[in-house]
Amino acid sequence: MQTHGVVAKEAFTMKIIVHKRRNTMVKKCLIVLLIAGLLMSSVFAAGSKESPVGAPQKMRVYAERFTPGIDRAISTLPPLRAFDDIARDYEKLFPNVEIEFYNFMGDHSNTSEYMSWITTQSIAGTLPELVMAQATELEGFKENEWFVDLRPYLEKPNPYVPGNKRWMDLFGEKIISTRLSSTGELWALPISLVATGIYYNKTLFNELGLEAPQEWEEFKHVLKTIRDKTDVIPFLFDMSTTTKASWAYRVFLSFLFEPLLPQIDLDGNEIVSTEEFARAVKFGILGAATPQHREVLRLLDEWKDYFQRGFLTAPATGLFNRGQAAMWWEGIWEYPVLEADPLKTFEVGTFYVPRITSATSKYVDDNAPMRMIGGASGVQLAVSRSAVDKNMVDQAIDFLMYITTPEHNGRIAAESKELAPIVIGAKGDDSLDSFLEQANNGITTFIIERFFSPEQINDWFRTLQDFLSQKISLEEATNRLQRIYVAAADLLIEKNKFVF
Amino acid sequence: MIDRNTRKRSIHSAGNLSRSLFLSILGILTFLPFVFALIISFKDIFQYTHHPFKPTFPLMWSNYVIAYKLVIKYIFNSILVSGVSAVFVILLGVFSGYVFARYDFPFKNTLFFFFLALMMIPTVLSLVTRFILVMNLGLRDNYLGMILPYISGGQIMVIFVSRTFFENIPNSLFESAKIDGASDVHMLFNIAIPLSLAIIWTLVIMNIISTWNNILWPLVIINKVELMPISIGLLHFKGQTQSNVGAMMAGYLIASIPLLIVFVVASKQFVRGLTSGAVKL
Amino acid sequence: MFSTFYKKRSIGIVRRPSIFVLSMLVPSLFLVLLFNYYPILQSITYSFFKWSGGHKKTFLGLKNYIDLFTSSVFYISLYNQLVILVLRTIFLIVPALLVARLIFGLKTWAKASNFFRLIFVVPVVIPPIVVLLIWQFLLDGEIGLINSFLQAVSLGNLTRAWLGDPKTALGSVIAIGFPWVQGTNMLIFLAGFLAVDESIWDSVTLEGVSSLQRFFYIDIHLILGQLKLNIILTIIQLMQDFVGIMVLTDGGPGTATLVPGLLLYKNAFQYAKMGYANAIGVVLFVVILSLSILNSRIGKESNQ
Repeated sequence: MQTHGVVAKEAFTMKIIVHKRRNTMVKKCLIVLLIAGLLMSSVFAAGSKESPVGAPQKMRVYAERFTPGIDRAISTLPPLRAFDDIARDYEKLFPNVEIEFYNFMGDHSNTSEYMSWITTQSIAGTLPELVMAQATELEGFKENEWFVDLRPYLEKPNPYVPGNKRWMDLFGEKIISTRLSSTGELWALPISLVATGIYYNKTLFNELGLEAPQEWEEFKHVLKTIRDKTDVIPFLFDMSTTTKASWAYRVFLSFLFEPLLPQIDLDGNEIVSTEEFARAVKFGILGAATPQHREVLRLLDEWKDYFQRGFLTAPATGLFNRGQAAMWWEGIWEYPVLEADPLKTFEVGTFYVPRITSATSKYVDDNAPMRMIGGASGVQLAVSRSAVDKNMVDQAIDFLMYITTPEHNGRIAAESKELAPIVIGAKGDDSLDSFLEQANNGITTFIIERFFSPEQINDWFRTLQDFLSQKISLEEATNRLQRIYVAAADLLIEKNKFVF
Repeated sequence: MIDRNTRKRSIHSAGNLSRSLFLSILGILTFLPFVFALIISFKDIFQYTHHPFKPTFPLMWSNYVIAYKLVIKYIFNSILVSGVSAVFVILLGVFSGYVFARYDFPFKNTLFFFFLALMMIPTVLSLVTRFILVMNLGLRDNYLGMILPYISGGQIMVIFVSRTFFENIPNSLFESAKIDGASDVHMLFNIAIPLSLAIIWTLVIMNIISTWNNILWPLVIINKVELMPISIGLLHFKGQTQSNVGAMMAGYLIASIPLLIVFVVASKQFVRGLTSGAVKL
Repeated sequence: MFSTFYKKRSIGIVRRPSIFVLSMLVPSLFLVLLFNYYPILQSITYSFFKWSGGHKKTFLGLKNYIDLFTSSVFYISLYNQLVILVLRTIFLIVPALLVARLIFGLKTWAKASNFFRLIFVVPVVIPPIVVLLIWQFLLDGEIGLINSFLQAVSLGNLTRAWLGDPKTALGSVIAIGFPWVQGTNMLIFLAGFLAVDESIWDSVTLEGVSSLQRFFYIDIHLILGQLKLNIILTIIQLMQDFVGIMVLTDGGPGTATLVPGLLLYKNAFQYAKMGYANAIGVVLFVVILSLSILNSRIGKESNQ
């Protein structure tokens, strides 16, 4: 700052006196602030007190969507409490155990942010004993010994289900296999299933004389009719995350590659293991370079033309609610809000993703059912190192067994209405029955999260985005994807020392 | 006397009017996000879905009730942390900036560049290592665990800016003060700072904003809910499936009230800082 | 008279500091060394290892760096960052400069100048998430207000999925925040204008220079210091901030809006490849350090 020398000097000499006084005042204020600040900080000093011997052991649980006692999106709905009630019942069985539901404050849908919390808290040893985490995302931490491998425990009987010989039987091998790591560990136990459905504007359909399609050719006809005859977006689908993109991909993978299952699933247990996958890729049966996969890309490309613009990055919410989109593929958690919406002007119906038949592609087997899109990627609980440090692993596992009885699992899921129960025989909420029928056909066989590492999934996703935004051709996409498939197979082989 | 009259007339001159017009247009556009946030804050989840930007009725005052209950828990923490950080950031930063500006010592410029380059690295790079450090110092779940790293990071910008400003103060002022027998510290407090008050208040604004909205660091360093700042508290709204956007906006608006007060004050001080030391014709 | 403003302040700088004066630096240095340098040095060390955050570290030598330099994704992110840097700096500086000059021009009308000053500073309080949400809506491919506007003025063929099209995603991200009047930048410029001697303005008007000429040749030179300052401050802020991109497009579609910061974050926490993420950070640091040294050398030469 430039001020004219002479005049400023006069002003400044006058101000010295003022400033001297102000300075001591300022200094005093600052000292007071400093002391206050330090006092405050020391009052809340770190270091939890050691619990006295004989005091109840605290088990903290972070169950994401199932967390009881927190405000819900629709402010008129009461907070959840089923899980809390179940926990109190458990405490009666084990008076020395205290269960506390932890509420994670951040944005658990932002993977990087959530994982940075998981990482840092694991380092500090302060992660809740039972914590929500995607089982397939914890593999990178194996070497740190931050989580307990739950797979062996699934072989034990669940004492809370009379007659149960193997805990695994309550879930089914196929579901659990989708959550295993590349080397066969289960880092988090799924306690819910993600169910999806296509919501549609029944009123509009009736006006156009359309019915909910059961098969893909019908579906294409519906899409085309809506596009030709109205201004409404035929199909609303948020493909901005790897999860959603994987849903769409799965539909086609399922139908196009299932006929090849006998060649892939060599032990005939209807589950494609990592070994079978790696083998199939190496032998050219699975992978992007196959004619079936070209069909996958072609069908995806065709379908996307009916999506809303900007489907690759998040769309504005509410397009369906406002009647500007005719169909919307989302998880069942949207249903309560849709149902309760007083401002919507049409009737909402639901149907499931239509089956693909040989009319659409010659590689498809007409007898194949539509399997469940979704899977065990809902709430999953991992046993963290905190439980190990506190010698509470067995207790934690016992609690997990307690909450995965058909009755309890059903209760928790039914109250939340956002996810489906996973335990065989558990009953969810009635309003969701139509969605949950799909579970009867079992889950899709080819779920890439099972076989690709998080980084490979990211690469796969980017390639799909480039392809669907027409930045690269089908050939280029095929090449890139094939490289990823091969890399995935190689990684699996390396980690497991497979030999073919 | 003639000057005063012409100046009075010129308040509403054509030049001033056209400037005001242009500024008004820009001002409205700049203020628009604020207006939208206000409109959205009165919507419930259904109104927001159907009419995101148009004012809808009935007004959902309940959003403010929910938000207020949430904000009041955390606002004290934010004020304490951001306030104390800002005070020390300015203190340390101005002192060091003064030293850099007026003295020479070995490695001065190298050190400076290192500081500068440091500022440009995304801080997430050292998130985990810094976390481990703070953890080992026993400052987790402690206000100091937030305050000290904030001071450390924030002061660099202040050092940089205050150095620039102090360097531009004519040396003649310092020389004449030295002749009058003023010490180095005296010169800092009585010459350099008063002349840079405007910039210092601007720096206060900038620093408070950066610490107020910081999410990642408090998220990992604080587990006790009583210590969490407002930036984390408000995330609570975002993490749900269909978030209650209205309540979230209400929360952010309420939380920005203390900031607003600080900024209006700072803005006034800014002008005082400029006009007090300048020449009056 | 102008020469006094151009001459670098060489007098008074070369002074040996007393111990007391040096001690004023100590608290700053101490904090920076502890909370900034120590973690960063550790990060640099870990960049040579395979590390996922825990105790186990496997030495990899230069492998992380080799992987980094052979990954095309990294170069794409650098390119994107460069584009963002150049364009967005212009966007955040020029309007602020303009507004500061206009407010300064109103200095005879105190009420107006105070009013406008507040109008442009107060929005600084708006949390970034609010701005992002609103702009995400504005840019929406279907019902975004921008597309609606284009259709209303019969430019319907220009409508795009702004954030969803790889061709426009980066540009859209850069354009967020229109009219880009950055409050604190504006204040710094205003301080610069207000600090200039009154007599300069009068002498210039007397010599019959037009407003536009005056703006370009004189105004800008008078606040050159503030200009450089704001440019550097803006660049610093831009290099650090990737959260906005993460929320809007998560680096997509494809790699259209990927920036090094985001790449770093994902590698560290989504792929648990912290050693590799640290390598990214180190390379960034070296690049920026060299650029700033280069910049100051050029600056020194052009100053005289």
